[in-house]
Amino acid sequence: MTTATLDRSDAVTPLNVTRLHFIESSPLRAPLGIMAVVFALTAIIALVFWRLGSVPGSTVWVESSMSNPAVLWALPGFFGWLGVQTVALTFPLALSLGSTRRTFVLGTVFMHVTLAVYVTVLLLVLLALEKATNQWFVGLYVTNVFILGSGDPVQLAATAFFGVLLVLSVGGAFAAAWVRFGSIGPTVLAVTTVLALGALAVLLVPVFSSFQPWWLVVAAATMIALSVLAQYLFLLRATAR
Amino acid sequence: MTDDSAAPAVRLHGVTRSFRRVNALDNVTLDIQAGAITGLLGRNGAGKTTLMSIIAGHDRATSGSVEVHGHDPFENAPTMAAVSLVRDNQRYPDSFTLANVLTAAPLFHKRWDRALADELVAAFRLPAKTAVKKYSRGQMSSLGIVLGLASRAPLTIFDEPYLGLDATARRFFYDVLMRDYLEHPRTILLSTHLIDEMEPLLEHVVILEAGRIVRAAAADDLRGSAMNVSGLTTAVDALVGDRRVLQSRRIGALSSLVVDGPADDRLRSDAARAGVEITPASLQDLVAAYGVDESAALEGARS
Repeated sequence: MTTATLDRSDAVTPLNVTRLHFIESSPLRAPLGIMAVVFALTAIIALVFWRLGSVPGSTVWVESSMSNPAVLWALPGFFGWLGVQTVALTFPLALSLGSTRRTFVLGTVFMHVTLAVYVTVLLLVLLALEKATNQWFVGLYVTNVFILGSGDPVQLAATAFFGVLLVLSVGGAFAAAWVRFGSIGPTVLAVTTVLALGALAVLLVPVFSSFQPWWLVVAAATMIALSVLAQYLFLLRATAR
Repeated sequence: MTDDSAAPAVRLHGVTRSFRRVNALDNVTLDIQAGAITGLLGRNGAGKTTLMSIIAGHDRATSGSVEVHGHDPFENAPTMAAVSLVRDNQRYPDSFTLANVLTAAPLFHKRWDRALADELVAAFRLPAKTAVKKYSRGQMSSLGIVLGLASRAPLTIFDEPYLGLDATARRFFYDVLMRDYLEHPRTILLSTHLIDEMEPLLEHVVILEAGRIVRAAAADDLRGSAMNVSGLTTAVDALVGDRRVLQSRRIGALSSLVVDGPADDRLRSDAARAGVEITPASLQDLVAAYGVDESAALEGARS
């Protein structure tokens, strides 16, 4: 009676885990829906201001419209939730299906990077359309806004990619803390993170005057790396819940 | 590629798993035979789920060594991929449906049998459109059975797979388990409290109590390894003598004991003369007996 025929090629790969994350299509559909809602809300608010007497294309109109932070408020909430779900709920299933923790974390990072690239491309396409249509024909500013680089595609790409990846990774780290330590895990992690970032901010006060935008990229990349490391270390000793 | 048919599928040596000050497993040494169905029996909290989690690489022993197909399963990719353990409280992503689960499983289990999965899904009448997280207890168990059986994993582990299943569904599970096991031999480890019902499936039995192995043997050997002795207390006590009493129940002047060791012809004739009844102890009797603190049982037997 033969039973065990172990083969290295049978091992679960990070790509298997990434495909597991994308089996349900909502991670790809939801950003489209969110951007549609952002577009609709921006249009409604612009309509209200137009009815109140603002003039599309005027300096005040452009200045106010480019301050539109709708993307900032709309997308991170979803990606934070998704980051938590990709670890808290998918980890137990991946483990039951035969994945190692290391494979799971790698596959999850691939998924997060893929999603960050997807959203970046989505926002770049929207920016191109926005510019090509001279602000959607009626002076709407959705992606050509200060927070996304004031129409600079490079700044938009860097902001979108690192922003999405950061939120997903931090969400994943908090979920991993929950899987490992229960409800106390995210609380302790949040307090520790806030104290560490606060202390770092105080230390960096003397160099604030020479601030460069690329510092944010370095800071985001560092936080992403720390979050992924935290995911792995927490999950390494976690029992599936 | 290895063929471990001669070696045990699982080998544990001195395995202890502590949670703070509590030992869920305490110095467990055990071999689980390859190519057999082994039942893991014991009361709630005996350590069954912890033991299965460690074997599957879902958890790590505090001390001791674990080998599954010759390798420590923890973070060993080929070994973990050769094990299927769907937990009794398995979690799934929030919006996952049956179709999502059945799409995911073949990505991970290279031996996945789609036809078997379809047969099980139809027989268990699993709803296709309902989110899995909204499944009833029985439907969750059914889905776990689908994942476990259709995975054809060389080591398939079921943790109380019958929870919430009606009698018809349980019978169907036992039948398909045996049929598929005979067609595709592999190592199966399952924990159960429905001992009488699942006893015919089991080739080997491991009884856990308070984190320790109290018996591990072939099911046939274990079935004849103890006896029920019942009758008037005075007659029963006289008959049992110094034999090891595993469990004692007394009601008024009547006693019913589970006594270690088989009954020989002489004991049977003595029992017949004394009006004491002797019957072989079932696996259920043994598990119940070992689940009682031994000193209390001995104390009860003498009182």
